[in-house]
Amino acid sequence: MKENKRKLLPTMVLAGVMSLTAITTACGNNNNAPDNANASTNANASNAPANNAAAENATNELKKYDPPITISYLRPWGPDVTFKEGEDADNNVHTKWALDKFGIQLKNQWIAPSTNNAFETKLRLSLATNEKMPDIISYRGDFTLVRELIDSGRFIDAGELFDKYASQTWKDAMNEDPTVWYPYMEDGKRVGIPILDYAYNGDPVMWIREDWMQKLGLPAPKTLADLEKVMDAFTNQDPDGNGKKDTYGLAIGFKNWLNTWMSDAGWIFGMYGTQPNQWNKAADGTLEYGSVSAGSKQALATLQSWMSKGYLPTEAGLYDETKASEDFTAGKAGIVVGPHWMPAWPLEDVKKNNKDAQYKAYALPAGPDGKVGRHGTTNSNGVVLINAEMEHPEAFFEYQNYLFDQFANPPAGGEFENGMAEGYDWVMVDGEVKKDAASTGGFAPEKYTLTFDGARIPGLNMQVLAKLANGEEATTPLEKKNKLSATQPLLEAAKIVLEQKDAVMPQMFTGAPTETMQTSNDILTKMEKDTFSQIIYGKASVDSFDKFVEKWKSSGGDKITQEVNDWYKSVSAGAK
Amino acid sequence: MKDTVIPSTTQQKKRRVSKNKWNMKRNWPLHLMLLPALLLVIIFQYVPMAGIVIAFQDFKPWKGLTGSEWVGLDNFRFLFKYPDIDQVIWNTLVIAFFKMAAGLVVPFLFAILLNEIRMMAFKRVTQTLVYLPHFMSWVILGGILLDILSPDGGLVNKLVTALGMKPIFFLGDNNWFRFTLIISDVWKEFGFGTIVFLAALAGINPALYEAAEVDGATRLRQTIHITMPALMPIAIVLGTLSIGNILNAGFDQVFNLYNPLVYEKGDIIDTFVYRLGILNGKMSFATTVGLFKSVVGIVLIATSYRLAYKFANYRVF
Repeated sequence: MKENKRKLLPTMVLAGVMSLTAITTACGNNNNAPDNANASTNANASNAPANNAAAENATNELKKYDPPITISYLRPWGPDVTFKEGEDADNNVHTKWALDKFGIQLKNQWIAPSTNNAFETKLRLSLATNEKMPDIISYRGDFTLVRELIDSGRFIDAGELFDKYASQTWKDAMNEDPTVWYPYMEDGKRVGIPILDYAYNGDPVMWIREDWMQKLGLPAPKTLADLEKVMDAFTNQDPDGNGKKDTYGLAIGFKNWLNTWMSDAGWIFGMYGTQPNQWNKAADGTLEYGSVSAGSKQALATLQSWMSKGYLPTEAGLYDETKASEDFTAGKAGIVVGPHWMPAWPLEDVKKNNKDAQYKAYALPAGPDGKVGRHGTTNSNGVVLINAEMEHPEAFFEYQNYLFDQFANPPAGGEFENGMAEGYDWVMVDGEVKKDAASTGGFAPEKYTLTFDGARIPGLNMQVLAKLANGEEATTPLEKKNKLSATQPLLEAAKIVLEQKDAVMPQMFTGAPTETMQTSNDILTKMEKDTFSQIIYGKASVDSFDKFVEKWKSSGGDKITQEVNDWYKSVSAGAK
Repeated sequence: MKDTVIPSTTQQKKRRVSKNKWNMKRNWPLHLMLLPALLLVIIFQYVPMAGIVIAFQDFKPWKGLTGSEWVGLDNFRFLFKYPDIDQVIWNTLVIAFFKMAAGLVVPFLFAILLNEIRMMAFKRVTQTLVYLPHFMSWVILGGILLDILSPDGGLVNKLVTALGMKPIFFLGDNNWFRFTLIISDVWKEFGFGTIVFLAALAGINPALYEAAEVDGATRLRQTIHITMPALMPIAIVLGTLSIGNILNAGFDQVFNLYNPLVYEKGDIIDTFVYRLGILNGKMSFATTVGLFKSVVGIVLIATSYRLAYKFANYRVF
């Protein structure tokens, strides 16, 4: 009996632990259950009568569907979208507005959050099980999912519809950069409509510690030689005055990439006429991979000399973009290169560490041949796909046209002059319009729209900021709104971004990964990162770059170049 | 049943059967409690195994499991022809082996040392402190290590320079990276292993020590002849179980610590699969590597299980 008891104990413990696990797991699953509850309710809702009883509204030429029609759609719901008590994704101030204004009922086919790839997983599953697709899929994120959706062949040539139904404002906004269509081109057809975002939003400027500049009496760096003088002074002349040699010239982080979104080093390559890790347009009109161009060798030699002179932090190769920027905010590095919005985050932190710290945006310096180059920002951040079986595709354009005409740059006296919805993003307090989160509760109803941000005209934002930087009067509602929120360094940076816009070297290849890319990309990028890091750290000579180029070409690079150029020819011929 | 030939065995068998029945009768609530866990295992471990077929397909999500093209062993061929694969497998084996070895020896010795401490409060505090890092994720530890191992001004390198040596670039030097991985992994996990050994130590019959003392054995002798043999079975069990992980060098850790400077010595199978399978969207390939790892793992576990049975008389089934 005694033996029996002893055997019993582990069994009991095991059973206890396992059932505990079962309970916790079950709880975890339960949290998702309400999201799925909506899934089945709408499938048959979309078959509204086909008669176009859309009464033409004489006063503003708005069509209103009567009886109302339903647009079923899918979009990831991010954690940034918050609803008022009693409202949700299918029933909120925006859906009511759409119903009242256009007779359009906006209905999620199902709801899944964007976190943890929940949306992607669910959409992939319904693709795999051949479920009915909604009228509209509005998506930003994983580009391979977009390709999968397009390849499924269930979405219509949206470009044709766009030409037919889109308003002039929207068309103009799209034409600011027609290449936004390229990622969604299929056999000359434009399957997806790009969702536009503000242009130049990620274009870099050079941020320098202004108090260090003044203390050491340094002039603004206009050329590479000037810049090296500044970096040398920042490194060796003890700009923070603590008596220790613990400062650097430039904060960069290339654990991920040299040419990247913050703590960028792409502009160093730009001084030699190229951008690494992207496809640039060569002089002969073909596309070439920047990392294997001749300019990259010179840029690497420059970086190597900076590393050996101590201008760069020893751990630049271990840092990602955010970590590297901390060298600047911690008061260790004097220069960092990144987007114009960096004062909002993370640059302001530098003042937490040192009350007297000042920073200022400068133009990117020119290389030995006077070249300036920086990476660009695509004007699009997502795509709208229209189901081939959608009954009223024109209804979507009706809706989106209105947002482009009225919301993207709201006219004075228009419906959206103060914001999207009273009581959400603006309130009246004592006859005054208030937009700060404290009075409104911080809701953003434009995030309830089909296309995530209502409507954005790419060039507009930076123009407004540059105008304000010049001290001009804010006249339009949008200018007034920006004036309230933007700080002076940010405005100046925006102005510099616009002034240097000729330096932009856009990523020219925006298609799906080519066949050889799928098999060889990893080995090629690994080789590239490895070689570049070893060269910068001086563990390999600059001449090993030539060997890398040779190996890159023979390991699939040549084939990829061919494929990329074929793609480029096909899309640039297909675009109108 | 051949009850006429060997009556004694039959009797034994009968007794065992009736005993099992009796057990079932008495313990049915326990078995019921196991049911949810069992279901969970079936649903989330066994059913998804059907997904292995992806390894033999050119899987396209919109075509699904049934619609995707069959490619036979193409994915396996691609894996073994991949230019980097030798280096990646070798890195994995080396890192995993040393982690396993150190992960066994360090807690073993530490538990014995801790067992000798007579101050209960100190013992308990130490035990808890070394156990703590186990609960931190590598994402957090990655950030911490980046700072304390920094070649300029990091805690560890301050010590190194104080000893008159040049600062060491632990995370950016191919000669040091594997070492850093192994040591930091041991530091994180040895507290967990220690607890298992301490539990085993608590089960040793004190009479053995008393007898040894009467015989005039020193503490060292007692450790060598009583404590260590008593711990051997559990050490062998842990060793056996970890051998199945020889191809798991620890994705979380390597992924958070590696960087282009140490690809040569630090890139392991899992990080390689992550880049190729997830970042480049080759799901079939990722599944292929997963299957390959599982097959190697099951062969090794089976072998080591037999060895453990033979040498330590340890068995589960």
